[in-house]
Amino acid sequence: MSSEKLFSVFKEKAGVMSAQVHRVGTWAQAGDLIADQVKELKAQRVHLFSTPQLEKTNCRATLAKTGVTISDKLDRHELDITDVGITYVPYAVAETGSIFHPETDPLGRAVTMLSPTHIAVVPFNKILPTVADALETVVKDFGAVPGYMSFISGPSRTADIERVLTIGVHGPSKLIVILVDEGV
Amino acid sequence: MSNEQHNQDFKASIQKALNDQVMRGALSRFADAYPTARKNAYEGVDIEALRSEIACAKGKNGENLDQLIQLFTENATKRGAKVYFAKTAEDANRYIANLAIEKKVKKIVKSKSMASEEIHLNDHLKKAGLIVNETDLGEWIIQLAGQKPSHMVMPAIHLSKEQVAGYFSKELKSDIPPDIPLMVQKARVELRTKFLEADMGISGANFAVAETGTIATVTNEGNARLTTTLPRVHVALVGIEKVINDFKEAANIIKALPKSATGQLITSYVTMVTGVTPTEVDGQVQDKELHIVLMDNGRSDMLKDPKFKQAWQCIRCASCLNVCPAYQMVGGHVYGHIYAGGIGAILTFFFNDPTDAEKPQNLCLGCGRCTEVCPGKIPIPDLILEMRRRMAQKKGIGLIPKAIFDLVANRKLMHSLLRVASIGQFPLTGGKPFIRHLPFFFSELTKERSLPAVAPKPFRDIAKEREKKNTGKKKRVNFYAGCLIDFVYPHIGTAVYDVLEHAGCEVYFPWEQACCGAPAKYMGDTDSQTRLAKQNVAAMEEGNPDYIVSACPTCTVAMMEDVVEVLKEDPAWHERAKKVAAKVRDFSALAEELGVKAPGKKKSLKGKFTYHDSCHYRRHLHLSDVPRKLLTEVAGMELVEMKDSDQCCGMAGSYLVKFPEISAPILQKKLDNIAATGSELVCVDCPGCVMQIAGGLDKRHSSVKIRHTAEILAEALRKG
Repeated sequence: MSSEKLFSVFKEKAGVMSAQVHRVGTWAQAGDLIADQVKELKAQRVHLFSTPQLEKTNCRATLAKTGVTISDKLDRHELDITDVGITYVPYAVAETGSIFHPETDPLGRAVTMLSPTHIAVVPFNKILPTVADALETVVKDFGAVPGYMSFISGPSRTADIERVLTIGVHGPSKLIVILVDEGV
Repeated sequence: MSNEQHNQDFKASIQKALNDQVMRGALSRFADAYPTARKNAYEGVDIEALRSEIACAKGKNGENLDQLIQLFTENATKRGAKVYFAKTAEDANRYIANLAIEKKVKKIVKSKSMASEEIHLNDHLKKAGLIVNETDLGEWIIQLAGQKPSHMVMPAIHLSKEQVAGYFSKELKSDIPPDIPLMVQKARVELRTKFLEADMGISGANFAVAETGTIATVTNEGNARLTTTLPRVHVALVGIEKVINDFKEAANIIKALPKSATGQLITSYVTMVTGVTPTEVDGQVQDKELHIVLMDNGRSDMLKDPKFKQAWQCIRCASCLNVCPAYQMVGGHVYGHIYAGGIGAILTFFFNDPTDAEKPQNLCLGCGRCTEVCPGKIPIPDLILEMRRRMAQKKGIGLIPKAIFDLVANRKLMHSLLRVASIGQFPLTGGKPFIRHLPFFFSELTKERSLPAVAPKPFRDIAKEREKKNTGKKKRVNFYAGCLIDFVYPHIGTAVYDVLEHAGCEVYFPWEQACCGAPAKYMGDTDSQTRLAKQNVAAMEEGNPDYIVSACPTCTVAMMEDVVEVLKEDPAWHERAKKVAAKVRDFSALAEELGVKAPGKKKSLKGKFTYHDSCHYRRHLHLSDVPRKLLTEVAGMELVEMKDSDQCCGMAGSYLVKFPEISAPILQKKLDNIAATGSELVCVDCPGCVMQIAGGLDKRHSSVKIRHTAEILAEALRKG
């Protein structure tokens, strides 16, 4: 499947799972988009999990301009009150509209779980066709099975009361995926 | 508890469930939405191939269980996990409680785990002085309500938002309105504190991968991720049936489980934990402890059983409940222990106590809708029958059923009684062809439906008159009538003769044929079934026919498969049974095979009809396309499909005698779906369904007519 085709399947399926999908050309543009999204959400506190890829977006600087409080501290109580968690996520899966997040660092994991919004930056050329492909690829890329891996598909949801779908139970109520064309 | 008391309690729990309008409404809304949601979720997926792969892989996992467990243990241990094998529920409870005490744990958060419900883990931890909070919203509600789950995937499906608001108000000591989004937010805030403070997180697992030592949870709320991330100790309680081979098998389960469970493309989170990972404790990074409790608790006994090992193929999606007509009426709590539905009765039989499964297994209609959707291709109704057979062997089938089957197996006595009944029933029918009111304890049966009267002249007498014309020079067909056509609906027999004679056959009625044995089979009475099988095989050999035809799918299955199965221990009879079985056809299949055609060029019948798929006919004989083709192409009628045409009408053999209170609402749903088509005619291929649906239509004073496909074809050929 061509990368454009993978993207269109991913976008459709991620839409089914109620994730927001954006596509930008460069890492810098991803940084700008993160700042725009944070502004739009009227967020006051954001939490970053710093990786070399995320730093390429220069989002720290663009976010600073918005006046938002930025933290990258491993502190569950601070994480609990943050409005937006921002991470780099190395893969996406077309067939399910998921992002695939192998991450053992406790901060890297917590940032995707505790705030009401999670923004994930994902390389465009890492949209894999299927869950099976993702599991195969991650073992090849990491040389072993990462200790903690999650397929994340849209926001946290429940239908436990009267089968009424409600978004945002224990995890984020919003998942924003930004795909970046520029290579890692 | 006495058996009678046990029975009364069970009946009372059914009545309570049937009166619970909140639950009935919720289950019915979900059941209505589920088939479409499932279909959409599986769009573009080859479901049959996927089901085969899962069933086959899980079956192999069972065969290699010891090696798989060893491999899993080695790999998980290599990654720093501690693996404990718990033979029993007590072992698992003791291990986890001791561990908590040893690790100075005070507060525990749990994500959803049916295995923990199975062993009442919360009670044990509470007794050890620990504070345990369920964090899955449904499970938390159940915990606050002091109840148990009523569905494997949707534990609180039986509760209304008002009831939930009541439990929340009490727990949070404030007045919580029954506003679902608001209640979800309240739960988030309340449980978030519990997550942040917990020392131990307990999760279940949807699967465990031997090759990598990985455990996985498939969830929507995110509570399992928090449970496995924040506390310093993680305990995963894993039933040994969850151990699979590799990531390839894992990908298939991830593909099937959410789609089959709730009709979702995938759940919000699929989380895979391999060994020890770091966590944060008081701002410092340290490795968390991972304890994996592999629990047997009756599972290996199930696996060792030559029949029940098929239940190993279950991936706990509960799609069998989602399509079960009985579950839709009564919900999960009447199934006694923790696991609900047909599969629940089977699991309870092995994991808990066989006596706990005794009553609930009876709720199975045997319609087979579950097997059709099961990702593990488990023949649940067959396993239920096997369970029933074993129970009957052990305890007997009860004196009254035994007396009835002894009577049924005595062909002559049975038939003379039926003849007497046809005269004796006049006061009840008032001369009409339906029994609307029955005296005394039978009254429950006629509340929602009228029962048909016994025909004044049985079909065997009609057949005798028609046979005079036979020349013995054409293809010979032996007609197996079955009790309903012989004694209640002889006109269906006449129609079968008309159509087959039109197709150039001579049809004979072997006089010594008796009941097909299905009622005895469904009660677990193998002795009566065997006697009847011999009698029918001998009867059907008469005149060495080219075909043996039946117009009742239950009888067809009995003559085509059951006689062979039940006589397999007796080589001579087994051979005879196989020869007879090979010639057996259901009426419509034979009509198609013989190429029945309308004689004129013009289509002879006009008008619309809707079609009801009888359970055995569709799922055992796989014939649902054939009558649709015959009725439209040969008879020339127009088909208007009804909603859930494949859903059981509630007749299900003796079900309407065992559970008239469940059978009746199932019938009402069927009648509503028929009415919604606007068609004045409903066609079926089973005289049992004719009896059930005709009775319901009569009670409603409906103008809709019900006909067997044979009747319509005969009419079309006559007019053509």
